[in-house]
Amino acid sequence: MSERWHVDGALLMGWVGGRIGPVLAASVEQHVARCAQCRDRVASAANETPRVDLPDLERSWSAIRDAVEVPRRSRMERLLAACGLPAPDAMLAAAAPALRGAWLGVVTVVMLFVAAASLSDARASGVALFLIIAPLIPVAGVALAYSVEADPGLEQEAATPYPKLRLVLLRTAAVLAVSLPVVAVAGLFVPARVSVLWLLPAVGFTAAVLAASTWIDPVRPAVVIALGWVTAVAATAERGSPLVLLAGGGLAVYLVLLVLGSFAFVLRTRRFGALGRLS
Amino acid sequence: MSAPTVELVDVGKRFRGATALGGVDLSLTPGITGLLGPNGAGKTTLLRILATVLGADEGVVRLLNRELTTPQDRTAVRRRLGYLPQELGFPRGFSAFRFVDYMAVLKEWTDPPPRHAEVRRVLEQVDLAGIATKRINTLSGGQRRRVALAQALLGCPDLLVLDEPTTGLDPEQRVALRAVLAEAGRAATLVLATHQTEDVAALCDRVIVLSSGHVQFDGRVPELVAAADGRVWLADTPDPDAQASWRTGSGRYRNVGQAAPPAAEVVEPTLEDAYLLLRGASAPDPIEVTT
Repeated sequence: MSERWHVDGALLMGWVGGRIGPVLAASVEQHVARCAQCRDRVASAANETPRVDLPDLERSWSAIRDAVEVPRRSRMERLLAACGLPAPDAMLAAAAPALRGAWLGVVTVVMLFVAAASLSDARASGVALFLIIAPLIPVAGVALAYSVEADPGLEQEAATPYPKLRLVLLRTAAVLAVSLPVVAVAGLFVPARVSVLWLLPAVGFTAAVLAASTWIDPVRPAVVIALGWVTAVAATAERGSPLVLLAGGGLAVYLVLLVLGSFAFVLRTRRFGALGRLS
Repeated sequence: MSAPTVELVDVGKRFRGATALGGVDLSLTPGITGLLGPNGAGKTTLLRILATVLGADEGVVRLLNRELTTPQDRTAVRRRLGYLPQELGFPRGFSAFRFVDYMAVLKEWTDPPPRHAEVRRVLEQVDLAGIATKRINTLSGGQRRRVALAQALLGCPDLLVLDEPTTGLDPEQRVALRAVLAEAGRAATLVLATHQTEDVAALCDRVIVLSSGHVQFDGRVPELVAAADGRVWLADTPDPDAQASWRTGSGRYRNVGQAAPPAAEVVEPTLEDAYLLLRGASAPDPIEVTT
């Protein structure tokens, strides 16, 4: 049967491109089903119609699920990322125990207490207190950053290909980055020499803990160092001269600890690839 | 037969002078191997060596065709390894999704879209997709264990080392998990340590029994079970000559010993019976009789 009329070009293009209303589309569809001539024109119209990209449903669904399931980054993670750390590294660094709990709060309260003591009548005691606590804060933070005792998650982390040296240094740097400014502010209330030189025992002890951690859990050397340091400061304070620990021979000891500790740590970590109790 | 993916030659490990493992020789191919043994037998030490988190003091360890002599070897193996330790630590405040995502970053999945897709895949595999956003500290013990297993399954590893994967799971969860492990073990070399002999019987092609740091049995599960043929019997009273004996639900006593007495009602042994017999053969003290 031959049709007396045919769908005009614009309407056919609109139908092929899905741009006409449902009633008109139904009418065109009915006609095309009966008219061989219009059916032939559909094929050429389809070739001329610009391709409409359907949205990638899978990708859209993934984006929706990301919005629901991917948790918001922690404040520490955002802070580290703002400091220029790539997002995956910020995530790993912020997961360290010393950066998750009340670590920063505890450090701040302790240093406020020390600063207050330094300003009080018992100024000498305040200085000794600062000298005791300030170098041990990074040591404690670093020990907690990758102690198997403090973070049993280290065992499964040790079985991943992520470089352990990088992970430890990342966490060490993150702990130092958030702890040192607080201690430095408290240092404004003690004599200038103390407020700067405490950094030397701090880094020397930290390097020693890092090196020892390749044999044993880092909490143990940290405790030994803390006990030794408290005893040394108390003994020299008793004689009225705790600042002797920040002079001559003392400074040389910290430097030796820093150099030897760093060397041993890098050598051992590269060689064994595991840390703490597990090695 | 496939080439070995795990080879241990005369491997030993000592802790403070005490031997945790001694003279262990193993050669494993793809498939599921169950590791049985009492507490302190050296199962966890052996798994830690296979997971590259512990170095052997003696012997040769070759995993996925690499001898673990350099950091590069260890890193290459870790790229193809999934490990579920006995005790798994979860960072405080993490949700299931976040934890597995965190582990995925450590496994070098740095690009977020494929990483998140992979995290979803493994969470779905352990049937946790519905509670992925829940904090881990609000999950049950069984759910936490499945979160832990999910991280081990990231990237479909060629070597899966699982320390007590079914601990804390209820029977339904254990059956569901067996299906996951059976699937994972089709292409990978899966080594699992457990105290559940029924898991080994249901899943494993091969069983290794460790005792005091040494391999006491290494073979196919039916071989171990066959060793108990004719040595398990039912009786109305506990048999004083039996190595182990316990009252069953029917009120009769199941006895396991070196030989069933004449005219005893001998029954088909299970893997548990065979394991008890094997343990009894090496144990310095007889196994406690439970009535």
